[in-house]
Amino acid sequence: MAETSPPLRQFLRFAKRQAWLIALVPVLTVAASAFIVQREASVYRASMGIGVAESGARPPLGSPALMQTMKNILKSNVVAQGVVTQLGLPISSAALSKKIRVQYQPDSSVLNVSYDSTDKSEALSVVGQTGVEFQRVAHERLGVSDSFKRPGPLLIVASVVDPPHLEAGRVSPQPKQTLAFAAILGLALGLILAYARESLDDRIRSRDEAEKAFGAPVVGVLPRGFSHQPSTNGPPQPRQEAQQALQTLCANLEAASSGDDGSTFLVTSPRAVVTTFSASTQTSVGRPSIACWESRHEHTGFSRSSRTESLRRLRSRRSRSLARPRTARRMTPLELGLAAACCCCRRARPLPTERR
Amino acid sequence: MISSQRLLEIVVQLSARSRYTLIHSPGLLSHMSGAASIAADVDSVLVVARQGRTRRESAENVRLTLKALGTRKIALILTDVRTIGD
Repeated sequence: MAETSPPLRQFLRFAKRQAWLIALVPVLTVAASAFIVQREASVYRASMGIGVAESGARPPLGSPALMQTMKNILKSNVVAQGVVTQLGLPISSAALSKKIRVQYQPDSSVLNVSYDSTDKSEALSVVGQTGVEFQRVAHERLGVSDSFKRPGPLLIVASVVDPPHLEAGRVSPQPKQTLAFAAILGLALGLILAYARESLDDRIRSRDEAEKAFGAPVVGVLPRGFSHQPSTNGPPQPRQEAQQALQTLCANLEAASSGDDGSTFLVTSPRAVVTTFSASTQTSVGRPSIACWESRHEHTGFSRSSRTESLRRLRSRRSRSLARPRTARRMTPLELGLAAACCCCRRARPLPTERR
Repeated sequence: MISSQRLLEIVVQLSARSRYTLIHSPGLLSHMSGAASIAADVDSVLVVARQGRTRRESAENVRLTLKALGTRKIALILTDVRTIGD
């Protein structure tokens, strides 16, 4: 039996077998992503910074509670409603509130307000108006001042420190990142599909699998497209690339016959009729063809004995045949292997039924 | 179709005259195959399997069939191999 291949080699064989699927899925994924990216409208982002602080506090920075409060005001419906009303936007205040992003760093007193839109001027207007509405609401409801020089009754100041502006470039789509992500995702998906396909396929893929499935050793491995050159004089010659495979098969068949004369081999397959075997006999279903090599000149009379007698003779033929004088040349191992190979390959040309 | 007894007689006759006798048979699992009738009487059964085509289920059936028939030696010849060593 052949030894089990290392995992890496098994994986490489698997990848080689399923190469088309592993390659096709990423290509399709990237192509689909490229199509979507091409059709997707560019999105731009406008942003601004609002500084929040408690006047007189030590340190004079916005506390986390104050920052969260200001964020909630920025995201409130009253601010969004004011923006929608002032700019005449065709969306609801709730939808606008969801689209306005407010972020702040834990140790910072600056709220970053941003808004994404396919229209640059709209993005800029929304952010700017949001700042205006925020300061109006904060001043009216909480008395929040926009100047450190004139703090309100709560001594809270919220001022626009970074005026509304457009960020460089577009936010989306990002073709490079999108296509790279699609390629990685496609590769992973291709591998998963290939593995699933391989798992569901019960065809024998390797020598190891064949030996396990049949429970028998492989004595010959013939390459795809194995055939031999036709020859009018002498035995047909195998092609160059098949020489090594054929020699191995010959040696193994010699070993299988144990060097005894009269060895009989039944060449069969699970289901299909494998090939034509001899020049005179065309193999058909239910009609095995027989060929023998290294025949002797003396003719053995046809026996009409019973099956039991035939079996007995078959079992004892070696001792009788060894005792007989040999009048024909011995069959070379190459010829034996080639004969067996001809049984295995559909494209093999027929061999003579009998050589004298 | 050649009867198994007739086939056996021919095999006996040929094996007495030849050093090697190769009997080429249709698929062992084919309904019309005569391979099963003589599989136990030959020295070795060479099963031809095509890489990438032969299914494990068929291989398992062949293995069980030959075991039930009492075949003495079974060996494989793997064909259609893309790279020798696979």
